[in-house]
Amino acid sequence: MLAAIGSAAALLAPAVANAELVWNLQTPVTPIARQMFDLHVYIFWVCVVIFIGVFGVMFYSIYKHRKSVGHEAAQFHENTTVEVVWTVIPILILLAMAWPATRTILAMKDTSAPDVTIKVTGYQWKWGYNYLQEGFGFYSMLATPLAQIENREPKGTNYLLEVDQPLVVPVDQRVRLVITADDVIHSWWVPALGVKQDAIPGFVRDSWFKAEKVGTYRGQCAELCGKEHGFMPIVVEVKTKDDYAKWVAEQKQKAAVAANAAK
Amino acid sequence: MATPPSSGRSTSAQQRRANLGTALALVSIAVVFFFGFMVARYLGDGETGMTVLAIVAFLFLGIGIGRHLWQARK
Amino acid sequence: MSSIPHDHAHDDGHAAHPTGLMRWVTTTNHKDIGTLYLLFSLFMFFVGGVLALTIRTELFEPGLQIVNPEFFNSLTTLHGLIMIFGAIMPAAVGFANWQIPMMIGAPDMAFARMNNWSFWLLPPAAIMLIGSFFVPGGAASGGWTLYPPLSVQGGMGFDFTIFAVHIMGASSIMGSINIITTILNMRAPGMTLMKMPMFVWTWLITAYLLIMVMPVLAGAVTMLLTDRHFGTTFFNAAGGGDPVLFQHVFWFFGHPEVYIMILPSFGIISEIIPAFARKPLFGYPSMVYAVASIAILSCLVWAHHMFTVGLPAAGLLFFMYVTMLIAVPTGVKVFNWLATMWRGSMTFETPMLFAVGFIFLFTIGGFTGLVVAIVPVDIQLQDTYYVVAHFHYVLVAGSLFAFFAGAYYWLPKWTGTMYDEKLGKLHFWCAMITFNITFFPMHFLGLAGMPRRIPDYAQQFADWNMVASIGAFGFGLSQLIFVWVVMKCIRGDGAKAPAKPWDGAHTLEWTLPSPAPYHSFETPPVVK
Repeated sequence: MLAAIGSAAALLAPAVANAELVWNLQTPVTPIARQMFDLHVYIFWVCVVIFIGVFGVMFYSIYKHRKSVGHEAAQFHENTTVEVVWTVIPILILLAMAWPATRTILAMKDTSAPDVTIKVTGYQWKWGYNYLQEGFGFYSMLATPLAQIENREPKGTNYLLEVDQPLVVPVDQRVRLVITADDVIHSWWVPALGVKQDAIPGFVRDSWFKAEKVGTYRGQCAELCGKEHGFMPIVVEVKTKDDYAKWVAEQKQKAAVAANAAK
Repeated sequence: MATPPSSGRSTSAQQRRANLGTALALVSIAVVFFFGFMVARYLGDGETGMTVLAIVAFLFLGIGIGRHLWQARK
Repeated sequence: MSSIPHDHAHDDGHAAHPTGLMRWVTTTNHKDIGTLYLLFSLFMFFVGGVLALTIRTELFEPGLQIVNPEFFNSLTTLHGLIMIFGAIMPAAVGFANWQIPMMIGAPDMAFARMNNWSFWLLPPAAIMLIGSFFVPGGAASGGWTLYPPLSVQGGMGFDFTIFAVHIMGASSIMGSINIITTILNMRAPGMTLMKMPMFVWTWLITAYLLIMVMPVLAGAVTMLLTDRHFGTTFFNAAGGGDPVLFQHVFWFFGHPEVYIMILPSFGIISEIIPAFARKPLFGYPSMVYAVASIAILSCLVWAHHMFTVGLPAAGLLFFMYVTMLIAVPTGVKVFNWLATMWRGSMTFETPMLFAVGFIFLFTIGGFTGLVVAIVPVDIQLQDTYYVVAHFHYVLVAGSLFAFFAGAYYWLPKWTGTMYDEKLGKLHFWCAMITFNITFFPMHFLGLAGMPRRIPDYAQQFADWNMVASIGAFGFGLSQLIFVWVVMKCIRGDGAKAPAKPWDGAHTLEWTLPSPAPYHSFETPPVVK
């Protein structure tokens, strides 16, 4: 595996032009996302150790037990002890992996006691957000101009990962998302928040996150939903409690104005 | 499972009958699985359907293996 | 293959063989049909490959360059369907047709005429799949998984795809019935089940899986068809249906399908490693039990493809544990192969190179499989390029490399001519290196958050995509070497193959002369 990384990296050297290379999961900003990150790192290293052990043995054998170096074939073809050993040891390793994963799953599925509840609706091809307690909502659409997609203009920093109106949430609060779709299945995914939940038309599913850092986090629809599947990004802005309250007040006002205009 | 017949196999009528029997048993598995999910859908919710289907599948296996064991003993 | 003598003296019953094209259309000979399957799958492999290279060209850099998003979706959909149903599965059946009768000492398959029909259903299905690109609305574009409601929205291309899947499913079911019946009823005297070569064992179990799950797929796409045209609402919430039901049914087929594609490869590798290590297969009974338990477990893990649909915690836990459990029998197989190599007397002709390459890369695919089995990690990786990398490691470096290994191993027996060892080795090294350049970077892309099935991507994914595209063209081109090697063998351009070109091979087909006579084992061999 390392050799493969090495050869790929060597080949890449001239191609490294614009940004630093991506290697790993995005930096997590929620407790669940951090657990996912750590779990991946843990399992990765366990696999690397097993990999080196197993293929160390294989390449030693390939090197030593060749006909061209005059090695005579042994004729053994069974050994109950080793067979039991290499059945039992993997089971123990798996148990060691399953235990922390189980704890994360239970935490991940516990959507109780939210501070803010937002309804997320997937459309072909945009996202709708409704703040259920506050009573307002809006759509969020791709903001990248077509000219950039069609290579007529240089691409911006957040090419394809920018929207006209991001989802805004408060920091350090449990935000519960109730997720559904209007037409086909979509999937709401923001890697840094550790949330990926399919949006299923006619059914409501939920998920939650608690962002621990103010900032802007980007994701994309993760379930093929038609021709513009690649063009319905998700942007979440995490604000301080005060900024969030200010933003909510503004939105409420806007909604009221819009409601009056409609009358 | 069935012990292989001893000789003159390719053309013998006995061989053909045995082949046909095996094939029919296999076809019936295919038929059960083809209609299974559709029927299951009308029986009630998905879980009931799947349970019924799983039971049918295991019965099938049970009967199939049992039959072979029975014949092998004879 | 022209080198197969078809004017055999003992041709009772069907003495007058048609020649030319009609020979191939009317043939009921397992060797001819095996050849047809293998050539068909080689052709479809290149069709699917062209689609893949079009995808990689579009993804060479950010922005839309050569295809529009709708067509891009058709490309990914048809690439998947063609590679799975057109290339990998027919290739496996081709190996089965050639090898199973010879390995168990049977004169032919149990149902020779049905065998002909199973093959000749495939070309029409392939024409429908490829032809769907030219119907109004274009080919199916909902991904090879055909999830509704997206697939209910689509145009006529979906109907073509559904019927093609029906036809290919019927072909697979007939093929499997034939294979099981042949194995159960037509073994040579003395060949008990536990003396059968591993390849025959893996195919016996694969065929059972096929009979169980292909009808499920057929049922699922039939429900899709009636939803599309006859007003049923199996998968439409507005009418009391459930779109997720389709996913359950589809993956009840789809996960065993994964093992349908890999088990015959396990069988091929289990023949080749002992032959080139000159040492009997280590732990034969445990290999059989491992294959059987993989097959049973594979029917209980379907929902691990659906960890993000919102299953209850209990469901997530169950499917995660069972999925992780599959690592145990799979590990047993890998360890057994290593133990077979251990203290052997190995040589590294092309089949062995591909077999070692298979073990090496398949194990990487197995590890990434373990990573995505862990629900919390999978939440981040589901539907990303990590998954794309994972299943290409097990399907390309797994199934495909094993089929290459098998092809090199048996080409001398099939054609009577030794393949070109230099070209074979060149093929292996080109394939091995370019495969990793193509697919290894996809792990990084997936981890960094690039979703699959998108025609355009954000800037931070640009570098690795470029590497992958360059690798993909290298990988595509290296396969031409294989075609060249096969052509040389068919034309008889090479050394004449002895009856048993590999010292360590012990299965029955090597007791026949090379090329294998048109009719073999008319009088059954006796196995001690």
